[in-house]
Amino acid sequence: MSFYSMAEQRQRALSTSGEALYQILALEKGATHEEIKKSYRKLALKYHPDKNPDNPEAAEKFKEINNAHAILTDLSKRNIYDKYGSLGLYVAEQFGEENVNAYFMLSSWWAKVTIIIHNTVCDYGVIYVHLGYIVRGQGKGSGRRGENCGVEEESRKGRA
Amino acid sequence: MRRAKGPAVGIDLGTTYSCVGVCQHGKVEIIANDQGNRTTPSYVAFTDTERLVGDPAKNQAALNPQNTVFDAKRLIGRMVEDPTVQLDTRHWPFQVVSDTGKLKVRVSFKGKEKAFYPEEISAIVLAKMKQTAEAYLGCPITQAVITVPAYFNDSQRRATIDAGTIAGLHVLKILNEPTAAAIAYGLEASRKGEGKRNILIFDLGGGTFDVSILGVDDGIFEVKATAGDTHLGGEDFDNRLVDHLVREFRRKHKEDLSQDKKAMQRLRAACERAKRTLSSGTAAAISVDSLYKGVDFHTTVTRARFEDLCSDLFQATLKPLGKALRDANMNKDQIHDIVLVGGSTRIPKVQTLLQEFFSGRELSKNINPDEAVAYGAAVQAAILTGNRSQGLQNVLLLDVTPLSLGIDTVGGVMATVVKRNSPVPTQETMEFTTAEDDQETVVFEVYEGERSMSKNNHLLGTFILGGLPPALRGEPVIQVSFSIDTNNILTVSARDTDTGNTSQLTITDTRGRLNREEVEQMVREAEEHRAQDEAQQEKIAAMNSLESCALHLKRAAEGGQALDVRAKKRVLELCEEASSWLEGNQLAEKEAYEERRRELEEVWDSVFSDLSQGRGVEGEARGFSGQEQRPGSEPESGPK
Repeated sequence: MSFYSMAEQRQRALSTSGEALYQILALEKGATHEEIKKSYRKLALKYHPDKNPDNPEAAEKFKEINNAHAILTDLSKRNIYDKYGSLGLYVAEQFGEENVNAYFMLSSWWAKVTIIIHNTVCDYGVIYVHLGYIVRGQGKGSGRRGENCGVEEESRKGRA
Repeated sequence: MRRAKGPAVGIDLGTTYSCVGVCQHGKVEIIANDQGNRTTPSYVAFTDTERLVGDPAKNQAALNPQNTVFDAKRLIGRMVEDPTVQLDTRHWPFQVVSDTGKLKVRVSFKGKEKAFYPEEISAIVLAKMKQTAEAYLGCPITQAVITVPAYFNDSQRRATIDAGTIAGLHVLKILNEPTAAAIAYGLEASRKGEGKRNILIFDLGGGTFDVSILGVDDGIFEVKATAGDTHLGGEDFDNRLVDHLVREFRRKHKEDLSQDKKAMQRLRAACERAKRTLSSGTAAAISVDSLYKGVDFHTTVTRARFEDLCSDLFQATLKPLGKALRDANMNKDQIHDIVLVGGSTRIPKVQTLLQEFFSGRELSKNINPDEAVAYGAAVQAAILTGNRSQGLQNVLLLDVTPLSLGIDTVGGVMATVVKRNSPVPTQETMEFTTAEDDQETVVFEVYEGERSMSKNNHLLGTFILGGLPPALRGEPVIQVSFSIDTNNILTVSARDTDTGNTSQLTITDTRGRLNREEVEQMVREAEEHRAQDEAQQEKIAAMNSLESCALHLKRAAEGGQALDVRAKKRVLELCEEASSWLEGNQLAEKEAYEERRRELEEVWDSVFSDLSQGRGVEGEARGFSGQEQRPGSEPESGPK
C-alpha cells in the first residue's frame, strides 16, 4: 500500500471538523456540559442493551454514544476534538494529548513543503503517514512508550 | 434470546455465603432456603452416599474436611500457578490439583476419587439457589442475574457464566456486586426524591473487597470508578485468627495441630464465630473440646488482639478507596453517601478506618449488608425481563470496565486499548503493524491490568492473524478492535486493512478456560447429578413414608378397640418386622421401600375391610390409609 492511498483513506476516515460526536448525542457543537449529560442519559435509556435485549444494533449504537460521551465530558479530550476533530484525537492517542498542538503546528509547516512535493494530496494525511510510519515501525502503535525499544526486541514479536 | 415463563431471579454468588432474591410487582423478596435461612453457605460436600449443598454441607465440614469444598469463588477463573491459589491451598482442607494445566478440586465421592472444576462447584451452589427460588415461587426458574465482584477479571467473569450454564441457568447478565448494592440503596434514596447523589459503596465480603463510586440521578446509576481486591475479606481475617491460635496451642501444649484437617476445620469454625462476637463484644471465648490429641482448648481473644492480627489487611482497604476517588475525579467531600455492604463491614475497626478516611463522616448502614447485593440483582433481573412496573421503567445501570485492557507490544510494553473505568459496552480500535519484512503472521497477546509492562499483568489469551501479503516491516496496518459487552466480557478481533483479512483469527491459548464441549459435558453431568440427587431424595422420602406408615399402623392397631386380638397381633408383628427391616436396610432401593409399604397397606386394607363388614367404620383408623405422605414423596408411590 502506498502512502498516498493510505493518506486518502485516512483523510476520509478522520475528519477535522469536530462535529460528528455532537451529532451522535443529538447536539450542536458548543453544547454545555449539562446538555451533554442530559442528552446522554436520554439516549442511554433508549439505546442501552439492557433496554434492548433482542436488538444488537442498539448495542452498537450505544457503544458510539458511550464513546462520544466519554470524549465530550473529558475536558482536555473535548478541547482537542473541538479544535482538530477526530484526527486530533487520533494524534492524541499516538503521541499523547500534550503533544497535539505541537503536532499540528509542525504539520502545517510540513504541509507547505509536502504540498509542494505532492500537490495532489491533502496536508494532514500525508504528515500523519510519515510520522505515523516511523512511530508504528518502532513502537507498534504506542509511540510514547515504544520509542526506546530496539529492533532486536522487535523480532521477538515477529515470530509466529 | 430465550423468554421463559417463570420470573428471573437475582443471585449473589458469594465466596462464603450466597443469597437469592426475586422482584415481583415492584417488590423484592429475599428467599429463605429449606432451612429457613436467607443466606446459604457456598459449601458443597461429597460423602459416600450423597452430595450435600449449603447448610448441611457446612454443618458436616468438621467431620468430612477433605471432601467439603468451599471458596470456589477464590478458584474460579484462576490458574494453578496463580500465587494467591498457591497461598490459599495451605488453608484449605480439600485438595487442589492441576489437570492438564486446568485447576480442579479432588474429592472422594461415593467411594471414588473424583475431580471437579471450580465452575462445577459453583454450579452446584447456583443450582441450590435455583431450587430455593423454585420451591418458593412454585415454578421452574431458568433465567438469572448473577453478581461478581466489580474487580473480577475477564476469565473470572466468563467462568461464572459457565457455572450458571452448568446449573441450567441462562445468565441474563453478570452484574457487579457494588453496583447491585447501589441499586438497593439508591432506589430507596431516589424514592425519597433526593435528587442527584454520589454514592460510595464499600463492599467487604467473605472473600472479596470492592469500592465503587456511582452517580445516581433520576433512576440512572452511573458508575464513575471502581477498584478493589479480589482476595480480601472475612476469610482472610479468620485465617489470621486460626494461625494465631495454632501458635498459641503450640506454645501451651507443645503440639502442632496444623496438619490435622479435622482439628483445623473445627478451630476455623470457632474462629469465625469468635470474629462475629468481636463485632459487638470486646472479647470472645474460644472453646473447642478435645481439639487435638484429646486436649481441650480454651482461650479468649480480645478485640484489640484481633485488630492487631488483621491490621495490615484492614489498612489495605484504604488504598483502593483512594484509587477509586482519583479515577472518579472526585474529592472526599463530593461523596454524599458512604454505604456499607458485605458482612465484614460489621467489624468496628473497618468502620472506624473508613470513617477516619472520610474525616469523621457518618456511614450509611440502612441497608442489609448481607442481602443488598441479591436485592439489586433481583431488581436488575426484573428490568432485563421487561418488568414494566412503575419505578423500574426508568432505572438504568451504566457500568464501567474494572481493568485496563491492551496488547503486548515490542519490548514487553502493554499498549492499552481500553482504559480502566471506561463505560461499557464499548468498542475501541488501535492500529498495529509488523516488525519484520515479509512477515506473514502476527501474534497478539491480550493482557489486562494496570502495570506498564505486560508481564506484570494478566494474560487473557493469544491469537494469531495470518495471511498477510509480503510487505516491508511497518507497512501493513492491522486494526485491532476490543469490544466489551455489558457483562464486561471482551471480544477481540483483528483486521488487516490491506487485504481485509479477518478470518484467520484464532484463539490459541484459552488459559485454563473451559471450552464449549467441556461446558456441554458438564451440563450433562450436572443433570445426571441432579437426577441422582432427586433419586436420593425420593429414596429417603420412600424410606420415611414406610417408617411413618409402620408407626402409624402400630399406633392405630394398639389404640383401635374394634380390632380383635388376632388381627391386632398380626398387624403389630408386621409393623415390628417392617421397622427392623428398615434398620438393616438403610441403603436399599426406593422400589424396595415402596414394595414393603404396599404390603403393609394391603394387610391393613384386608383387616379393615373385614372390620367394616362386621361393624361400623372407625374414623381414627381410617386416617392412616388416607394419604400419609411426607412432603417430597411421589404421589404415585402412595396407596392406590
